Amino acid sequence: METPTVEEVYRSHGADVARWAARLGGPRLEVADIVQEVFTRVHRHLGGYRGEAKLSTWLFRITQNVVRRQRRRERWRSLWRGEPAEAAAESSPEGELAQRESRELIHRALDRLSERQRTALVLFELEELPGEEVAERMGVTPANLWVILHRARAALVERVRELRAEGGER
Amino acid sequence: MSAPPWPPRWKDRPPSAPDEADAATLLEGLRSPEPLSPAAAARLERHVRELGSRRGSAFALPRLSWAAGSLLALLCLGGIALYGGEQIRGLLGASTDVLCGSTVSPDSRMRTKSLRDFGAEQVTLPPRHTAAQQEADDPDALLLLAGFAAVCLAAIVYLKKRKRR
Repeated sequence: METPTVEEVYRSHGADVARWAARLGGPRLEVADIVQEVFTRVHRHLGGYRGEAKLSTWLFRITQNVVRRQRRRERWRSLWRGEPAEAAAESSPEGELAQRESRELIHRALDRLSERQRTALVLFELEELPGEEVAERMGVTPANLWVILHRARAALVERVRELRAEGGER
Repeated sequence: MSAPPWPPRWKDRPPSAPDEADAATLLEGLRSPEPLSPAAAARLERHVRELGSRRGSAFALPRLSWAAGSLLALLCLGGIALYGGEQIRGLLGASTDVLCGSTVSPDSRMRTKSLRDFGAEQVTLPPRHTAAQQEADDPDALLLLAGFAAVCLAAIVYLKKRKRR
């Protein structure tokens, strides 16, 4: 199998990587920065890519690692600056406000889940991948994924409820 | 044991419980993420093109894991502490001596003479650094220091180069 060039990978999967980055990273992380870092890593490791895993699976793992790293860095940065770990919704024109607030809320709820739960929800509910493929991407057994998914849904519902209550108190 | 069938997606069968339905609706809002700004998209295009042109570069650096990097840094620091520290102590010692006026020259005869000048009895101080010893010690120490400096420099160049990539 001939190894594709980094430009070919970007053309075929760049949009996917940007979408994963936005869904996994949330509004606090710059999607373009994540994509740039992902493709820098792709360029570095492309020679070693043997095609054992699907290209999209391989790219997803890289994206996941980059997001994890950026999240950690962002957490330290906000601690250092003394900012709250979760950003408040930015003010915006009336029409967009409700939508922006909803996005903000769900991102904050997802932020409060464990990384595995968040990934499982994004891949299963939003990417609509078959369960087996989600399990493969996450490196868990299907039975394990089933449990993770079940707990992730329950946790998301709980986090949303908490955030709504917090919002109501303010 | 096989896993139970996958639960239906929230999108396909919205949950009936109000809290679950609320979470499902909110999650659905993330289905269409905000597109990248044209400026960001252009920056990415440029970056990927640059990466593509770097392919086959003559100066390809091997990847250094964090563990190996830390080990290298520890070796450098250890080396500097062991040998460089010795040298620094030597230098400090020499400068203290100079300040106290006991040794202007490493030649022990001169030191004995200066003591005699102050009315002391003939005292033969063991020579701290004979010229022959110094000649024997210095090249080794200098070589070691130069070696460590080279390793440190190489590590700095490596890290800078890696960061730029």
